[in-house]
Amino acid sequence: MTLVAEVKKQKKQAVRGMMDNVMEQFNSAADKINLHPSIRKILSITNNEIIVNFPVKMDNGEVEIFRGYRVQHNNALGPYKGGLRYHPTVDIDAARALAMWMTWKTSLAGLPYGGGKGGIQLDPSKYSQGELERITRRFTFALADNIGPEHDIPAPDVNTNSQTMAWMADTYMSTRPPAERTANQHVVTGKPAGSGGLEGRDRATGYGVFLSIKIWSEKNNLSLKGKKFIVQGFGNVGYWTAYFLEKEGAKLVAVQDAFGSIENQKGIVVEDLFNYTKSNKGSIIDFPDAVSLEKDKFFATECDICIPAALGNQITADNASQIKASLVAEGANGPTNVDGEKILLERGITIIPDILCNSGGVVGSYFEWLQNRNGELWQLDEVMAKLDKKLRESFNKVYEYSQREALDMRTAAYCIAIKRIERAYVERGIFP
Amino acid sequence: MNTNHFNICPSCIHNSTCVLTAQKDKVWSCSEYDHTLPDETQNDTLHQPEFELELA
Repeated sequence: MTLVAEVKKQKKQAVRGMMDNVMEQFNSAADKINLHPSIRKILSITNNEIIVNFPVKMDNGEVEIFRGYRVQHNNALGPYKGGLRYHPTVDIDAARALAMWMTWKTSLAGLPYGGGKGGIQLDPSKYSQGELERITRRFTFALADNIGPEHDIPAPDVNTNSQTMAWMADTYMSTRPPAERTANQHVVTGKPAGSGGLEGRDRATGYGVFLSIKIWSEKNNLSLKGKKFIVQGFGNVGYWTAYFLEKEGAKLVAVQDAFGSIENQKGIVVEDLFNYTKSNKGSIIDFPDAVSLEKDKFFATECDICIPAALGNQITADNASQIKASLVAEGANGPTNVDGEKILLERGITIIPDILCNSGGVVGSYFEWLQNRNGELWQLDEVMAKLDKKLRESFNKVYEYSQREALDMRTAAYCIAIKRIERAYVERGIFP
Repeated sequence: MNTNHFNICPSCIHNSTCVLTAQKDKVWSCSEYDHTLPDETQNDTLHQPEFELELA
């Protein structure tokens, strides 16, 4: 069975996914803020859904037809913004749900963006690099009238990267009149640093997670020095979060990745572990300065801060009661499900929600867009300082709202995000 | 809004051994995701057209 067929079969299974949680959060926040019924209607559907079928010549000379999607959920606050993923499971429903999620995220981050998402339904492992380049360029050409630096700005997602974005930018710019070409570089973000990309984009999300933890600690008169933390996922987000926390004096005591879990209550040196994974096929397993940990015991590890930075549905009714941390910082998307969250909140454990905690990435994208738009090149220290300011602003808003309204931070975050969009509609009205 | 379920696990190289989740049917985002690399061997058999530079 091909991967695409296998995936289609699996999709028919009715399982409760992370996006159901997002819809539930939207409806619950909309009820809390008494969202205007007309605006609720508008936000419950997408503005535009674009499907393109386009031909690409393969290496063997044959022509294959691909199907690409772009869903533009809402642009009340500015151009649509969101990733493009290359995956067999990409379809209009997937893109819809993720586009909606982007609308809340950009709104909460205080960016002049709306939400979008898209991709191509394909299994990238089946194609050569040359074929992927031609697929990307032809997809960009097919989408050209529907994206643009002031209209819809794609970014990397699953199976797409800075190279994909460089091809997209080059193709899009090539289709513009010569005098306008360089003024269109910001049609995509996530480009390589040498082609208009942002210095420090790699650490932006992890820095945001770290900063959220730091600000929360400051507000609660706590020092990070000597605090123990555990990280699930030692990819880009997990590594950089651990890197910045360690610099602040906190101690990494347990890590879990796709290969297994390790623990050392005396502390794991982040850089040593990172270097070890590079020489160990990316795995943390058998790291000499730690002992291995049973996978189901990971979230029960003794610590002050728990950072799920890998995937969704990790903290559930099964393990929420075992968590020792007093703070959960969601580096991943949707790591705590509804039942898990209920237990954590009942136990007085604070959750810094994903929509706020991991928003450093999209803020980094905004900076890249601004940099290109203004014809500037920002230094790393400038980027980090701007990131600090922007993220601090968002965190403070959520924290203060949650305190004022006696709400958990997730509900507060959704309320703020939706209110900001509601305000735009109220102020400008509905055409005609 | 329809929230159909999509999943990236089947194409991840860690799919069969991953310890992070047993629910490998509803993962839409994962920091540990690594897809199998494009088949570069296909390039070996690719015959590029030969061009000659002609001076006009």
